[in-house]
Amino acid sequence: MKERVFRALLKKELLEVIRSYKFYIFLTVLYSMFLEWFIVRNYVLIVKKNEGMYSIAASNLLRQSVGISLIYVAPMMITFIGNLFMIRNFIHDRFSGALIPLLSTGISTKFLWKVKLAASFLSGYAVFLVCIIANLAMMKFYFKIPILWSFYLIVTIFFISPIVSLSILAIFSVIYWTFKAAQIIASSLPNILVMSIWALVSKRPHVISLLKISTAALLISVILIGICSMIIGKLRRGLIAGVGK
Amino acid sequence: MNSGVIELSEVYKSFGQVEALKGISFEVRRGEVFSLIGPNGAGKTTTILTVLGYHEPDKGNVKVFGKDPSKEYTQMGEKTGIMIEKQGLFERLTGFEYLDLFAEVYGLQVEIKTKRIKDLLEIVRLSSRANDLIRTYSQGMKQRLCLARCLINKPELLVLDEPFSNIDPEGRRSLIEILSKIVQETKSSVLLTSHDLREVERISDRIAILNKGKIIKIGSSASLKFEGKTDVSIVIRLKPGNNEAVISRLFPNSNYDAEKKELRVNISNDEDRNRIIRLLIDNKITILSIYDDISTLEQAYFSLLGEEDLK
Repeated sequence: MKERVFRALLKKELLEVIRSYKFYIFLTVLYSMFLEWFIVRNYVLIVKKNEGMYSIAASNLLRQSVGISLIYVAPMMITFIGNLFMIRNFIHDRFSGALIPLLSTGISTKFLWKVKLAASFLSGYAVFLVCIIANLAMMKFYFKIPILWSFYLIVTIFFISPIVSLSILAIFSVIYWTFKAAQIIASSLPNILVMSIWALVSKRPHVISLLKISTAALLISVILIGICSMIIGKLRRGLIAGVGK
Repeated sequence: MNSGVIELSEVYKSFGQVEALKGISFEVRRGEVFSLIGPNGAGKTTTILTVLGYHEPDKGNVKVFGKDPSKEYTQMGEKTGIMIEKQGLFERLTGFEYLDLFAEVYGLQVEIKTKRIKDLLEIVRLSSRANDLIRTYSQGMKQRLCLARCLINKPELLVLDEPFSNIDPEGRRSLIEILSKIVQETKSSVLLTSHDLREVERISDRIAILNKGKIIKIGSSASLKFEGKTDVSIVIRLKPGNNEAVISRLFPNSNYDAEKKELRVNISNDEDRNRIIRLLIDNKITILSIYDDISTLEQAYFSLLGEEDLK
């Protein structure tokens, strides 16, 4: 029964997202390609400057660095586009009064939170996959750099980084359902986050220990999601529905 | 025993320094249409949100189907249909998709779901627009869709907050017709708030006047008119040939139109009406017809509010 309700609500959220944000999705893919182009172009310039021409070691380092740089596509893009979707799913629905009829059907606030978070994340993940495909195509056809794939890299790009993004979205969602000035927070938080990650990756990508940082990020993310879920369970129903004074 | 579907007893609710509800008590009986009327800020929406469990009272008891709505709301959901002032529609869905979503949430069986949605769309006259996005609907159509949504689970209780606001007179008339028909057919209990006193009078069994967080009066529309001390009179058409002298003697303070043969007498309750009719019959005066010429609920409402403000 709950699965059926979950599926129905998820379908509603996804339909709304697709119908509202087609243009933004297209822009986001372009944005991710621009960022990746900027980062990889810097690597190529550094390698060319230091080696004069590609040696095997430099070439491998470049292939590795380019692969690592893809790790940041998920936190950037899932967080960015997911947050955009959350402005509709969480904030707009709250202030338009749309949560009241839904919550009055008897579904719990926590259940609704899970659906909305899942919808924002899954839509973001779908856009992220498109971004990754577009970026890989750019590596192959524009830069002509074959990425040096490894198990850790694949797990980190497609699993750990998205989980990190999910935890960030979970934190945003709690903020959006707790504070009334959520719209201001909505516009500033992801920008700060994206800019920080961009600054980090473009300056010191080769220094980061992939395994350590991924494991730590995964653990912290899971803990954060758990904390967010607990907070949502404690919030007053009226506050979430946007009628709390 | 006719127990209340909704029971509020001495409910207080404050928001900071503002006392929104100051000890209100009422019950909505099974199958009854109960309306709350009052000026803006009287506490109508706070009452509705308290009944729905979105506000927890500071003091007093609220029971809906015998349960505390702020704690046991998951058990109320399937028996209740709600329509609030903010329509809160998902405007990027079509009308059909919107109703389908709620049908799924209420767990309607797949085989009856589509038929129910089609029937409801037919009732609220939206069948031809079922596959259009809600954002393209007029305000009246959106209100009717909200009504269809709150009926999808065949609720025992309808909670309607300002259902006639923001729609044109035609849309309002259409909505009230649909609502009256549904209430008659389903025998659902209804808790309604509205500023539209004419529509309230048409549909309500009992009405409560709320002002500054307190209930001033509760009763049927007729009893509120009596309590509001507004003019209520009956007009009796008499058969030509009756003894006019007798009529003048029997009703010295009344208004008798000799040309129309119409006698107009002020009354203050239903018993007065019966007494006058008996008096006429006892004096062998033949009655052709009788009708009430009563003031509107609006007059009674303002009269009662005025009295309250003078206190």
